[in-house]
Amino acid sequence: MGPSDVVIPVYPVAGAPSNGMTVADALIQELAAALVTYLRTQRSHVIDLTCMPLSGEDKERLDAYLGLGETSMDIHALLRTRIEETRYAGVWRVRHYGPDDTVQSERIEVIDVPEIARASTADIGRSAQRLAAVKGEEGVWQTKP
Amino acid sequence: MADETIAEVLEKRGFTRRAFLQLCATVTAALALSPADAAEMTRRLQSAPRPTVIYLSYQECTGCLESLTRSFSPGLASLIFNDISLAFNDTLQAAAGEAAESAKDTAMKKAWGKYLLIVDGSVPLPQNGAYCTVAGRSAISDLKHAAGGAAAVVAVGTCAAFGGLPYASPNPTGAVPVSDIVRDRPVINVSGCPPIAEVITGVIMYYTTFGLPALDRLRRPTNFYGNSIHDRCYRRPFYDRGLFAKTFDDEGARQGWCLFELGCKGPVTHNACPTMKWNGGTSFPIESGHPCLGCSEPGFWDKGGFYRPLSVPTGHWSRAGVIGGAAAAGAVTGLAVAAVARSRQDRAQKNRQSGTDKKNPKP
Repeated sequence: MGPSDVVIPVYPVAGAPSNGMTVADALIQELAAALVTYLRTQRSHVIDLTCMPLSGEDKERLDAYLGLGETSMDIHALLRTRIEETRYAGVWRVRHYGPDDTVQSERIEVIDVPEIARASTADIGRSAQRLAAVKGEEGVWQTKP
Repeated sequence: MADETIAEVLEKRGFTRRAFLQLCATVTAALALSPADAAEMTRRLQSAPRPTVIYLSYQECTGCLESLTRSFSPGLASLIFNDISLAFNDTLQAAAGEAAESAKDTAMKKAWGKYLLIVDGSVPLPQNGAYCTVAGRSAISDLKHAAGGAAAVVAVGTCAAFGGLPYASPNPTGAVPVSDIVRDRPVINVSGCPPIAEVITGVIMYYTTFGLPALDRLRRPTNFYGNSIHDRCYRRPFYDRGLFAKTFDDEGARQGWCLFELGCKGPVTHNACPTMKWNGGTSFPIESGHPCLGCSEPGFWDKGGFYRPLSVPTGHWSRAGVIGGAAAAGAVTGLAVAAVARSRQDRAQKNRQSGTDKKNPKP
């Protein structure tokens, strides 16, 4: 038997919560309230799951509750970021991955579009300059007399 | 140049604002900030000038720097630390000899009064500090000079924070922690042997945006050192039910029961290992089946043995008392254990300090 065959259980075997309420249930309640708040005030909400002590069961429950929606996006910047809309419009899962594909940050965002997906004004400004430089080099758009 | 922000550093390297937001998300996650504080940190980091960090090493083994530079996400940690903030480190830089010393002076002069000084290792006092010298200068005078221009000092590792291994009995070099020498600057202790890499970078980022973090009575940031290992340990339910591994290969060990009786110092140790973990969140010592050594606490080397169980206050240190007490009233016993162990440590520390006060500490 190799070391990988030794399974160390994370929680006591006979330790289900007595009232049937899990952390996942609590998070769903928080998200429901956050959606209502967003509709009224446009105030976004973030739940950071990275350091939350979720059990495997909690994670499965949360995944089952939220499901997968219509939209997903990948960002390749300093890190790799995967954005997935859940089956509830306005509730997004945003995961940042390190170079070795480990999750470095995992959060649920309640907003129309996660901020990181938007192109920032500063970046658009630099794009305009760069594109103008390309135009200048190639002379494509220069109007002829 | 001095007023360059972190966002600008990233832009110069060809990254977009998204890279900056990724950086913020991972740092605020590591700091376990509330959503409001995380948003505030991101807002402030947009305009905060990048910090200047001077990193000095004295009586140390370079394990702390190893932890930092060999961390699970070298990209991120090195980006924050090496590329964004580090102005001087004698181990990592290519320069040597006089070139290195003049680089240090230049870096200090440039940011005099503003830089964050990281100190790794303890500092010996006797014989005018002759037991640790760098470039012909004693550690003590070097540190005093460097601290003079620092806005704050971060003592990285248990040696710098509490004396660590050089300070262990009989403390042959008369080593003291940084806080014994630097008294007119804020000192933040980031203890651990070594500290978790993300904790070191997290403290730098927190200081850059919010200033000094909240500290506990040992000057450790409460973000990371607020809870005991025991409080956050996934094996805690076994302790509460009195289920203990008695040896490293018995049924209890295989079942992943509590390691208290194998000498775990989790109940008296404050650190973020159970939540942040090591090696990219792979595990932490207890999860790998080894008791906590208590490396982020003062005098951890002198607690009477890594594999000797902490005692409970039964008046006599019988093994039966330990087991029975823990099994009967886990949580309450845990508190009492912590209190007793702490008072024993305090006593040990007093003994040690009175020892180092003598001119020639005897082994």
